[in-house]
Amino acid sequence: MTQEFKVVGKSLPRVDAFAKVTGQAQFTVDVSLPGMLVGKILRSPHPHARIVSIDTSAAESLPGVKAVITGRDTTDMRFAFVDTPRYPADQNALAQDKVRYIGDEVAAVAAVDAETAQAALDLIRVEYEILPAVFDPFEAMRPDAPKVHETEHEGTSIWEQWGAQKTSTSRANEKVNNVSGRTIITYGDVDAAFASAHHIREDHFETSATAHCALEPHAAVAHLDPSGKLHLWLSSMGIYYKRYVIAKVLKMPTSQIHVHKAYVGGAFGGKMDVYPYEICAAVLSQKAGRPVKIELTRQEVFTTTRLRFPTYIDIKTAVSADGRILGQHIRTVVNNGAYRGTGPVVIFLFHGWTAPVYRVDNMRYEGVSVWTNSPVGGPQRGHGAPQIRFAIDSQLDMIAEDLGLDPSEVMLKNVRQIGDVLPNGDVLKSCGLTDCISQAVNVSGWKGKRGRPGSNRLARANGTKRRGVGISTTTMISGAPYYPFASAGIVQLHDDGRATLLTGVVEMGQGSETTLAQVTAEVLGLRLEDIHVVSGDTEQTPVDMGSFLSGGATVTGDAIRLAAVDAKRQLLEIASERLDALVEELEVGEGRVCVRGRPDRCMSISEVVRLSIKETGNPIIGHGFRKILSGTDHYPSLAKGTGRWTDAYGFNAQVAEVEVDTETGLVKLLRATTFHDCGQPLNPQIVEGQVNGCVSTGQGQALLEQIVYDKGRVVNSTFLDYRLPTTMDTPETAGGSVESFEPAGPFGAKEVGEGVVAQTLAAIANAVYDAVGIRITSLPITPDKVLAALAEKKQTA
Amino acid sequence: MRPFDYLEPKRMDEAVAALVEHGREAALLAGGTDLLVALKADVLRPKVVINLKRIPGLAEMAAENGEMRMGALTTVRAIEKSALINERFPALAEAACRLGSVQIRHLATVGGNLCRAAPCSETAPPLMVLGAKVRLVGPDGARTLPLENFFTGPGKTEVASDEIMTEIRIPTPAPGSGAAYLRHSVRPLMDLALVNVGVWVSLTADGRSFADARIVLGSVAPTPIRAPRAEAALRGQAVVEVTLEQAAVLAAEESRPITDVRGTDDYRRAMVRLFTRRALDRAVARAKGSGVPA
Amino acid sequence: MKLLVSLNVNGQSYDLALAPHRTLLDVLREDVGLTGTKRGCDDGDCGACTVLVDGAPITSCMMLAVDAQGKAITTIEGLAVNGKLHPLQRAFIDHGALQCGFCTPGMILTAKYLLDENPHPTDEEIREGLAGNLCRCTGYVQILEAVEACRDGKVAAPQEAQ
Repeated sequence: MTQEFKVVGKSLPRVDAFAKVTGQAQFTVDVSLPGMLVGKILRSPHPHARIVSIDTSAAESLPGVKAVITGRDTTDMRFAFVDTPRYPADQNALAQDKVRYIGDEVAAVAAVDAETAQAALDLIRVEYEILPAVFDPFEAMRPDAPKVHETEHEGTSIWEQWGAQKTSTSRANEKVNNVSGRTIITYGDVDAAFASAHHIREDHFETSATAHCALEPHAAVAHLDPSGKLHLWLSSMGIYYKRYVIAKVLKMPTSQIHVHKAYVGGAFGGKMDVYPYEICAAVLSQKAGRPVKIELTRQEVFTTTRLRFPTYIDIKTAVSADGRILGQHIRTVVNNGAYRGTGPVVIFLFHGWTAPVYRVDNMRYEGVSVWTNSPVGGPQRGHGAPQIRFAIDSQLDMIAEDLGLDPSEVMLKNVRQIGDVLPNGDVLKSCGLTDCISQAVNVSGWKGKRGRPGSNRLARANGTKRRGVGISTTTMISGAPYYPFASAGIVQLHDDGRATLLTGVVEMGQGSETTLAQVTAEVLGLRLEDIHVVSGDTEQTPVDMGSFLSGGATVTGDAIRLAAVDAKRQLLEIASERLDALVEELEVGEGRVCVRGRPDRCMSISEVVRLSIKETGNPIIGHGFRKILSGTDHYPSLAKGTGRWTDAYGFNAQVAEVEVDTETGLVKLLRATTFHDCGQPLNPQIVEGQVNGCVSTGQGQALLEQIVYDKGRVVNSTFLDYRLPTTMDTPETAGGSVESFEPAGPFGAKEVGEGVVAQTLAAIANAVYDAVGIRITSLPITPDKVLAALAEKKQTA
Repeated sequence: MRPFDYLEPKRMDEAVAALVEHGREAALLAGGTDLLVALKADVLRPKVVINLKRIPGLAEMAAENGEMRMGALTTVRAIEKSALINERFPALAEAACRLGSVQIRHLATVGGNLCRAAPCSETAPPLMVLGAKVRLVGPDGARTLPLENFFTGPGKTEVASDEIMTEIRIPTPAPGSGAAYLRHSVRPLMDLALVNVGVWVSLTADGRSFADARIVLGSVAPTPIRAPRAEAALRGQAVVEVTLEQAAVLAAEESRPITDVRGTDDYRRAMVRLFTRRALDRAVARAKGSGVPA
Repeated sequence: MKLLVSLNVNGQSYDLALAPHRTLLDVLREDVGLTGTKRGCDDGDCGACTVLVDGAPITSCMMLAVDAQGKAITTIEGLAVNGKLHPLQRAFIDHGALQCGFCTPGMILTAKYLLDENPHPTDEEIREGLAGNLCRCTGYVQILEAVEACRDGKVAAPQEAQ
């Protein structure tokens, strides 16, 4: 049902490209204000310790030091991404009584330059009483393990303060040591499903902590001006969300905070949470009376922001003889790290990424997040999808092998279809999973390339390098209810017939400035270059849900479409009089308003705008808005998984082709064939870029990336020791969009750009199995694991 | 970085005098790719940094009197691109082209790489097997030292606190000899070596037996090390599969790898065997191809 | 201690009094005021700070500013001539070879060096040449396409709208 559009659906150049290729685009790290000070943070060297005393006097009297703050200055500044009565906020801007991980913020200084700030940190004397620490989530759950958090605070709730309704108020009954979140979701009759199964598999999977590695380090510039207005530049994913939380923490009205536009040098989920360094920058600025910039070092980014949750997954699946999934029992445990962050969210999401893909009528899902004295986990591209899809699709591959079936055919038997209603009530008004799988299979040469089930793959070919293919599928939401619950847009016409789009969206590389301008241009019959975009500024652009819930295309896109539609309506109303036609008879195109089929009866948009201003004073400003989740103002229960939470899901399927070097254990991703259902792609070149980036991240996290800890200390916090894919690792890529239309999104568009990471993991793991018959169930699949598995296989053969 | 004083001597004797004056409070700046990392990590806190790059003549390469002389400040990129090096010492070019990135190679110097004395140094194994010597200049004059005896521990060398390396000298390879360098890492570039191996062999006139061999293993001990048992298993033996394989096995046994964030000891040991064998194959092929009629 | 240094950046002279411990990267961004060169890691590992010094690509976080005296430094701001984009800049736009744009200046300058040094690189040579420039957004595919489009002296053709 792909319509032919004039601007939407075209691979037009990005509107921010010129500024970025010439080095003019300003990022938070580039911001410089008169009198700006350099801020730095003093961090705990211990994973768990009580703070006995802090003496900042020497630091305060160092020439060039303009402000020093400690926990005393931030006593009631508590915040967290999840902040509810069940899960009260547990992180403070600066440590209060104790520190809970290596890197925990203890004090902050602002000084005239970096050297002075560093010298000031060196002069702060902290006396610690070291406490026993725990790093493993299973050990942390034991009753005798050290308690990472001793007191439970009273929680307020972002939702309730906004008057939104909760679906339930019950608390978890059982208290287990250091558990920071628990989700239990059941439906159907899992026991009956297992009893009637033809085949049951039970497998265990583990994934490592990985880092976002956005190239722009985390940074904040804060300037409390003499009038009391707090100006902020934050390398963030959602200016309205950040403004709200920071205002709450600093006890200021939200409108007293102005978050300014800055391009964001990558985020991938790591710049969503409010961080202590942001609060510290604001408090330091207040104390010093000058702007303060805090730019984290790369080491601080690796160790003190967020990491993907290390996850332990047990899956037991019952299938029929032909491979249909009858029931599933899934248990997950995540290492939350020292603060709750989004721990309770990710354990909810593991199920959230399961239900939309394969139809499973009988499910028992149990997830637990556990505090430990380790660096903090948080959302990272996919937010749980990579971990759970790795497990589910690795196991499905094993099940297919057990049954002597082709895994792609097993998937096709189980995938959801348009119209399916998910257990939580979400309805799939679009779903291209079947198409995605079929096309991935066709285009990749799947049938000719894979080994037969049960065959001895090592014997299959000569030479020391073996090839194989694997397949996986995944899904991703298109927006979910969270503050600020909606997006809005303003389209302002100019008297030269061009338009300015005001959108609160944050441009962090995903191309939203461009795609939203394309939507605007399409509605108004203008060219992309006629649209000027102003984005990401809380004073100049209206509320936006933020770029962290994958709702950019669907929710914000639709809000902008509605704003453009409103502007168009006004244009047509003015023009209809002058053109002596009914509004229904008019259309826009090529910068003009015309009577349909009558090119002799036209006015340029410029003329219409000028006429409007002259006659009524109306300069033609359109506005539009869209709630994140339509049809309800209830938000879902994280603990029970009940309640709708998105209007649309994006879907993907991928076939990965790998080559395994049986002498070195190195696995090379040769080719990734990815088909995605993103509804109507707004800009195919941008979509392709997003998919390629996801494949690269997936490849990295499947084969190369792993944060390594030693008793709570990250030992590989550099780009040398933490291996990101380079140009040398780039695979061949193939694929495209399948035909699909999402009614909830503008022109049928929905999510792309987060989901594809997830499936690359299982696709690669399955391809490795296809190549050499070894099954690696922990990530990353490193050469030493491969070599060891090959050696073991040889021995047992 | 902490502030420091800075000197740009224009002559070697000025540089040496500055070292004498400041002793261990001075640091020498060549390419800076190791020094700046150490300064930023606060591992080194010199009072004075002495930039050697204004001293003329330290970055030239020339072949004379039967040996190759390479200034200590020759960049790794210049080595990589040098027609002379690629033709006569391909093992060294093989090392140069795999060091860091093209950006790093434009800054990094061979002298800096040797003096940094990382166990995984790229240039040490090929230079060692080629029999290179280094020239050190101090207040009492110059001395020459075989690279064999140069490394004393991780990050430690024979260079005294008042000495500066000025030159590396590589003897012209004899006919019937060949050298090779291979390194293994998870990412093909921009990754410190898990294992790196330099091999030099010299064949008998009929090309069928080993007259002599040198094998240097990097990244598997506190310094780059020779593998004497592996070498002994080659000397006088026929150039056949079983000999080559045996030498590779012995090299693996002689290696002393550790498990660290980059890889496990077992994996490194397995890679020593694999890459010693491959380097031997390549060195032998070069030796056979290099024969000059006596 | 401060030294009087004259830096030649994009053909223009900047006379500065600099403490010797400051890197070329910091001085370009803070003293010269050109923020197009980016700090990604400050350790020479990511390539975001790449500038051309006498035509050669170097990671400016690994060079002391005082050491750049007497050399011709080119930053991304110096690439376009009289407002006309360099073919690589044009190609990056046309091929969608940038997303967040943070790695882009370093990537373009390194690619410029590659093509200046060898106008006919193979695909493999382009990959090897750019291996020191990390990108987390693009997966490199479109970056490689953009550079390939500029080899053999070709000026990138404008992207045709579909």
